[in-house]
Amino acid sequence: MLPRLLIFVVFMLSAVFAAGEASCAEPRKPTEHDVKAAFIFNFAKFVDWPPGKLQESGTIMNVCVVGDAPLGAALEAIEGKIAGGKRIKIKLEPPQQSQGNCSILFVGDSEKEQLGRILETVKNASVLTIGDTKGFGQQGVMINFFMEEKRVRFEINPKAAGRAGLKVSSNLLKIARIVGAP
Amino acid sequence: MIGLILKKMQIKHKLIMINLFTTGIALVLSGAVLRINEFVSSRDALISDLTAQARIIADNCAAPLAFNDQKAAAETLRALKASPNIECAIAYDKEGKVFADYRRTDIKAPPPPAPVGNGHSLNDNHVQIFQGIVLDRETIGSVYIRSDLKKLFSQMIRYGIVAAVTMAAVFALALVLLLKLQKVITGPLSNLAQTMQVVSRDKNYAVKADIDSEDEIGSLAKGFNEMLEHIRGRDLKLQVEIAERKRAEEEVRTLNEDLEQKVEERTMQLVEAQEELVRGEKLAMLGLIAGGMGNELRNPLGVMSNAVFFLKEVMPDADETVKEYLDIIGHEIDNSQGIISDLLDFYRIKTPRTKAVPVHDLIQLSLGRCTIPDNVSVRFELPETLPNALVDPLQMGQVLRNLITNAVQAMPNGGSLRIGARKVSSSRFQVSSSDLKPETLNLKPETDFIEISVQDTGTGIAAENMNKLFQPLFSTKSRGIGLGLAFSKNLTEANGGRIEVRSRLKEGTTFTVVIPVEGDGAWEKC
Repeated sequence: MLPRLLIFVVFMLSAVFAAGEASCAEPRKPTEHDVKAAFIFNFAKFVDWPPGKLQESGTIMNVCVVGDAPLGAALEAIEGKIAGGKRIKIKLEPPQQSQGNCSILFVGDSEKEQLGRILETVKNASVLTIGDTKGFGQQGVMINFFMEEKRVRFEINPKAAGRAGLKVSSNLLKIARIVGAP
Repeated sequence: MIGLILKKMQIKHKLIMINLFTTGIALVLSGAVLRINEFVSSRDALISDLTAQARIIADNCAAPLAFNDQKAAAETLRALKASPNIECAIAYDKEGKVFADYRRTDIKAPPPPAPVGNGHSLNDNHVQIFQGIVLDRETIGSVYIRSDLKKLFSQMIRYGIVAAVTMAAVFALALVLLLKLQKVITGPLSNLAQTMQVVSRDKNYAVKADIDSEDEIGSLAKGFNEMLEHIRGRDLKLQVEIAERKRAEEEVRTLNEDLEQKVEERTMQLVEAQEELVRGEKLAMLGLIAGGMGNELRNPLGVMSNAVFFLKEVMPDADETVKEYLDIIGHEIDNSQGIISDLLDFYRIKTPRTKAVPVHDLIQLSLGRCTIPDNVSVRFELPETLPNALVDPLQMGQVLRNLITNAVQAMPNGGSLRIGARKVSSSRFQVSSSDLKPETLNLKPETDFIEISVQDTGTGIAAENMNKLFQPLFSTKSRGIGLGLAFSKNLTEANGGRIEVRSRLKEGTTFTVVIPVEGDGAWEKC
């Protein structure tokens, strides 16, 4: 189990560095989606969920993806990995469904129109919302990717996270751009 | 070498040396231990400080590393600028590639390869800390921090200087204290040594060492004092013994001398006794012959005397020549009769019939029966009053007559005859040498005697004849058989007296007769 995990991590990290410095000799260059998938996995390590929420979900951490198939595919790479003691399970969800049982919910660019409604459904469920669309941060998505100098970066809306009862590590906040949306 | 130097040192200096040496060693050792301990703890503190810093850096690098934010990582590392001793800090990624680094401006060396695991290493000038970056129990990289040891060294130097100064101060204080305190030990010791010197130099065992402590030196001084006491006691005893021995030797010597003297005396007495014996025998033999012969000659001499008297009677008209020869014959017959009666008297001394006799009468009577030639003057030296002598007047008269006759005969060319008498007191009677047993005489202290002396101014007696003077048959006269003085001596002694002679050749002779006094009763022969 462990060797496999190790190989996986090494693979993952190399993907990260390949994205950053392009110095990797890997045959496959990690795509933007690969990097984002790895980031999502790492976010789980820097965010603390309220105890009740974690107990509810047992040993599984559900990572739900709404409306972005390519990332969903990239996320499969982290399927089964352990973050914060929980196994990650990737769920590709239809947009209309309530996402209360998800720990992390990725909202794709395609769901821009539905964002208010989706956020409403998870308002009381301590779900870490992640977006990849400009302006999502201000609209209440807790972490939102953006590109800067060809590198993937992210912004954090700590108030939104606070409202959901999530605690974001200060170390994460330090390297993120903070957005102060309502 | 050190032993030799120590041997020659005074105890004072030895004490100081030893104490300083001990103190010095203790100071240096404790100083060294303290310094080493300080060094180790400072180093450990440095290492734990750096490790803590490395942990914080690693924690802070986790997010940048996880999210590939090199800028943020570099910024985190730059925070170490606050510690000037940190030379460089490097964050490595999972694969050991340098993710971000910080170097102090003076450090140009390329970053070392990524270390593995946590820990530290120490070399001469550097300490290196390796700290893994862990995210969610997964090591995602590592942090390397290298620090120089300048701070540690300068701290050590500062500590060292403080220690050296402290040590010097303590050492000086110890020296001062030792100089003061060593007197507690060396004071009594040098006192004792001085006392010993006094004892050995002056041979004075009466001194005492001061005892001013109850420690070993005190008991040493006590022991020394006791020893002195012993020596003194023994000295005194020895002196007493020596004095006693000397006295004993002296006694032995005196005894020896006395013994020798006694032996000598006894020998002399023996010799005298022998002589006396011989003389006695000679006299006895002579007495027998003389007695016989005297008696035999008396009768013919008496007949011849009668014949001469008859011839004178019958021849009143004979011529002068005949008369003269008849006188000569008669005179010589008288002489012969005198000699014979002397001889007979000598050998037949009658027991003296003593009675009180006035000394004047005794002298006058004796002198009256002597013929004094004209060229001899007689002088008397007689006190008015003299006690009566207790003697046989006939016998003592004969003695005096003999002495006077001798004196007159000693002055053929005339001279002076002095006859003296006086009373003498003697506590101890000088016994005559002929008396063999002087101790048999009853001596009474302070007894009176009469001393009669007859002194002439005649020829004197030669020294060699002095001791033979009273021996019978000794005579220097052409006519005489040498019985006069011997006879006189015998008579005097028979009367409880003695006879002495003093003479100087060509000046004269003095005979002295000492006889007892009436009523004294001193002289009773046992």
